[in-house]
Amino acid sequence: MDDKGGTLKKRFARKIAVCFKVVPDFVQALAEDWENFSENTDLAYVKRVINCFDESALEIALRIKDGGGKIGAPVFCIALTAADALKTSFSRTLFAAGFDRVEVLTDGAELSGYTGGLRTYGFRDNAASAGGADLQEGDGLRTDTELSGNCGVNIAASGVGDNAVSGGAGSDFAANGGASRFGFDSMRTAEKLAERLREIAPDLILTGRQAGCADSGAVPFYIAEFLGLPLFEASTAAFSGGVFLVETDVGAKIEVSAPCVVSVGNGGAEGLRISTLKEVLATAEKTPEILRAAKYFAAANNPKIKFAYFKKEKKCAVMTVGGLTDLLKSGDF
Amino acid sequence: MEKTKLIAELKGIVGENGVSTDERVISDCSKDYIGFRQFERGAGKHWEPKAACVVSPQNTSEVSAVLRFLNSHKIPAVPRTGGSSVTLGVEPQEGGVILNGSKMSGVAALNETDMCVTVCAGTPLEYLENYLNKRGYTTGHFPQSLPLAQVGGLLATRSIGQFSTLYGGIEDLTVGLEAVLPDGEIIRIKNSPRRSVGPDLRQIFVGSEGTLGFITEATLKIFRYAPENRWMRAYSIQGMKNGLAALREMTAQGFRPAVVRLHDPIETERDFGAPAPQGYCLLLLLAEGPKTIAAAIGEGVDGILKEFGVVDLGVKPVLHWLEHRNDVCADLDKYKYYRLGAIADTCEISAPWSEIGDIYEAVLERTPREVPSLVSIAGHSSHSYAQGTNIYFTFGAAADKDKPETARGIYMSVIRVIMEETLKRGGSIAHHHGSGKYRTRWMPEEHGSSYGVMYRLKNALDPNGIMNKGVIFTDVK
Ligand SMILES: Cc1cc2nc3c(=O)[nH]c(=O)nc-3n(C[C@H](O)[C@H](O)[C@H](O)COP(=O)(O)OP(=O)(O)OC[C@H]3O[C@@H](n4cnc5c(N)ncnc54)[C@H](O)[C@@H]3O)c2cc1C
Repeated sequence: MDDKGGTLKKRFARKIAVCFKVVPDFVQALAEDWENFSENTDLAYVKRVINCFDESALEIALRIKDGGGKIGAPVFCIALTAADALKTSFSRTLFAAGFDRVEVLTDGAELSGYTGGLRTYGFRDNAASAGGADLQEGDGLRTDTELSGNCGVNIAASGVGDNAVSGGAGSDFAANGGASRFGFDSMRTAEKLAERLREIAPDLILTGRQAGCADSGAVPFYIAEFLGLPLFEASTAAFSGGVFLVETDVGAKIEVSAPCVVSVGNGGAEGLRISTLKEVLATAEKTPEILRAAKYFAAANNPKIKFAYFKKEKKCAVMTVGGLTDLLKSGDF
Repeated sequence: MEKTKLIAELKGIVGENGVSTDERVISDCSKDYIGFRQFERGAGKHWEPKAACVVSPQNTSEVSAVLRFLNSHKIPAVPRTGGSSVTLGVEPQEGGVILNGSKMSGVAALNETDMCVTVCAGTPLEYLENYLNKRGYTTGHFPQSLPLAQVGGLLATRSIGQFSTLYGGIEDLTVGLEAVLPDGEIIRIKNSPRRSVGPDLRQIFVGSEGTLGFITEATLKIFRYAPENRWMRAYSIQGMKNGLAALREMTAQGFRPAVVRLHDPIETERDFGAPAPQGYCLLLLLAEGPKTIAAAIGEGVDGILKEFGVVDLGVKPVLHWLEHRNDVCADLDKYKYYRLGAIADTCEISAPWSEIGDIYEAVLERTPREVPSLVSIAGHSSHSYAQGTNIYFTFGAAADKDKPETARGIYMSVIRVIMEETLKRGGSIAHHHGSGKYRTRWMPEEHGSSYGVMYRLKNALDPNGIMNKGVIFTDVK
C-alpha cells in the first residue's frame, strides 16, 4: 500500500454500481397464498427485505469504498434497482450505509406511497422490483429451496410462450396491462438494467447471485452478455495491493481487470452494515433518482409460475426419566 | 461449604444423576436471553456468574430436602425451569446452586368437570397446550416464548400470553398451586373457583421470581378449544395515540377480543411490510369463544373502530401474525444481531390510558438523543385492560463486536430512559417479564411505600436470603 500516488489510484475502481432488488420475505407468506399464487395475490402483509444476496453485493461495494478512502482513492457507489418504486426506508438505509447515489428505474407507475404520501395496500407484489435475478423461462423448471427449519417452498415455472412478445400475452403476470412486467422475466430485467449501466459506465458491477423468489441466477449473466463484459461468480470481492481480486466459493483468488460484472453469493459478507438511527435521520434530504424514461421499460413477459408450500410439523414432547421410547410408543406427543 | 462436600451432600439427596458439575450444563442452565448477554455470548464471552452445580430434583420431596439442606448452610439457590428468562432472572450466584425443575414434568391430572389441569413445574407450555388441544381444550396462555417456557417459570414471572385480553395473565389462570418454602416446608394452596378466607396466598408465589420459594406444581384453568369460531380482522389506524384511544374505547365499552395488538408505524413497516399507509399503525384483532360471542365482539369492535377512521385490511395480517408469532424462539441462539453488530431486545411497561401515549412518545423522542448508537426504537400495545394497556418497546443499538464489554452499558442506557419515563408518569416498569436482576434498582420507586411489605414477606419466608439474590429486592434486610 505504498503507492499512494498514481498507479494504485488509477487501478482502483472509481465507480461501482450494485444491482439490488427488494423482495417480499417469502418465508412469511401464508400457505394458502403459496398454493393459490396469482397476479392478484395480495402479499401486502409480508415484510419487504433487500434480497440477501444483493445485501452481500451492496456491502462488498461499501468495503471497497472504505478501502479506497483509506488510500485516498475515492470510490463512488451507486445502488440500482429496476422497480415500480422504492420505499423511502430502503433508500435511506442505503444512503446511511454509504451509497452516494440510489437509482430506481421505473416506468413512472404510482410512486406516491413510497416517497412520502399515502399508498394503497394490497399492491401486487410481484411487480415490486427487480435487479437480483428471477426465474428463468422454460418449461418445467423447478427450484426447491429450503427456507427455514420448519417450512419449505417449492417453486415451479411452466410454459411461457414467446418471451420476446410485448405486452406479455399468455403470461399470468403481465395480464393486467403489463402492470407486473418484470416480476419474473430475467432477460427483460437484465436488459433494462444493462441499458442504464451502459450509461453509468461503472468500473465494477456487482449483483447478488440470485434473488429470494423464483431464483434462476440468470440476471447477472444476461447483464454481462448485454454489456459484453466478463462475469465472475464469487463469494466476495476486494481490492488488495492494487489489484482487484475475486474469491470463488472454493476459496480460489482470481485477479480480474475492470470493467467486469461480479455476481456474489450471500456467504462472503454478513449482509449490509447497520446504520444508527442518527445516521439514518441525517439522510432526510437525500432522495433516490427516479429514472422514469420509458426506454428502460419495454414490456416484458413473465412466465407462468406455480408455487407450492409444504410445512414440516414440529413435535413437542416431555422427556421423562422413563425415556423417550415409551413416549414415542404412546404416540401422545 | 467446600465445593466437593456440597456436591457430595446434594448427590446424597437427589442421586448421582441429579447433580451436574459439567461446565457446559452449568453454562446452559445459567443462560439468560437479555439482549446484552446474547451479544456477549455472540462474541464468545460467558460473563454470567458461575454456579457450583445444577441440581435437578425429580419430585417435591427432593426439592424439599435440597432446599432444607441449602438453607441450613446458607447456600444461595436460583430456581429455573424453561430458561427463557430475559431479565437476568435465572443467572446464579457465584458458587451457588441452580435448582432446575425441568425434570419434574408431565400432566398430573386433567379434570374436565372442574375445567382445570394439574401439571408439574417442569412441564413445557407447548407440550401442555398440544396435550389439551387434542382433548378439545386450551390453556388460553400463549406467551411468545411458548416453545421454551415451562409452568414453574410462567407462574414465577407472572407471565402473560398473547390472548390475554380475554383469558388474562397467569395470575388469572392459576387455580391452586404447590410450593416448597426456602426452609423445605411443602405447602399446597387448594384449588377453588374463588374464596374469601384472607389474602389470596397464590399471589405471593405468582410473580415471586424464585425469591420466596420453589413452585413444584400448579393447577391451571382450561377452556374449550374452538379456533374455528374465531373472528379476525386487521385494520390500519392513523397515529399511535389515536390507536390507543380506539383500544380504550373498545375495552371501556366492555369488548374483550382475545388478541388486541396495536403496532406503531415503525413496526408496521419493519415487521409487516407496511400493509397500512405510511404513518399508520397496524391493529390486529382476534375474538374467540362460542361462535355467536366471537361474531358479536367482531361486529361491536368494527363499529367502534370505524368511528376512529380505520381502514379494513382484511384477515391476512392476523393469519400471518398467528403463524409467525413465535418464530423468534428458533433464532435465539444464532446470534443474528451480534453478527450484524447490534444489540436488540424488548422492554415492556404498562400505564393507565391517560399516560401511556405520552410515555410512548417520550421514549421515542429521548432515546435517539441519549443513545448515540441507537439503530431503531418502536413499540406496540399487546395487552389491554379497561384501565390501561402495556407498551412493548422493541429496540436495537449498534455495538462494537470486538468490544462486547460495552454492550451492557449501551443496553442499559436504553432501559434507563424507558424506566424513567414510565415512572415519571405513574406507569409500571415491568408488565410481564418480571424484575429479574436488571430492573431491581428501580423497584423502590416502582413500589413506593408498599416496598417494605415485600421485605417483610421476604424476611419471613426466606430469612437467610438464599433464594434468587438480586431479584426484586435491592438488598435483603
Ligand atoms: C423469545 C421470548 C419471548 C417471550 N415472550 C413472553 C411473553 O409473551 N410473555 C411473557 O410473559 N414472557 C415472555 N418471555 C419471558 C419468559 O418466557 C417468561 O418470563 C417465562 O414465564 C419464563 O418461564 P421459564 O420456564 O422459561 O422460566 P425461567 O427462565 O427458567 O425462570 C424465570 C424466573 O422464574 C424463576 N423460576 C423458574 N422456575 C421456578 C419455580 N419452579 N419456582 C420458583 N421460581 C421459578 C427463576 O428463578 C427466574 O427468576 C419471553 C422470552 C423470550 C426469550
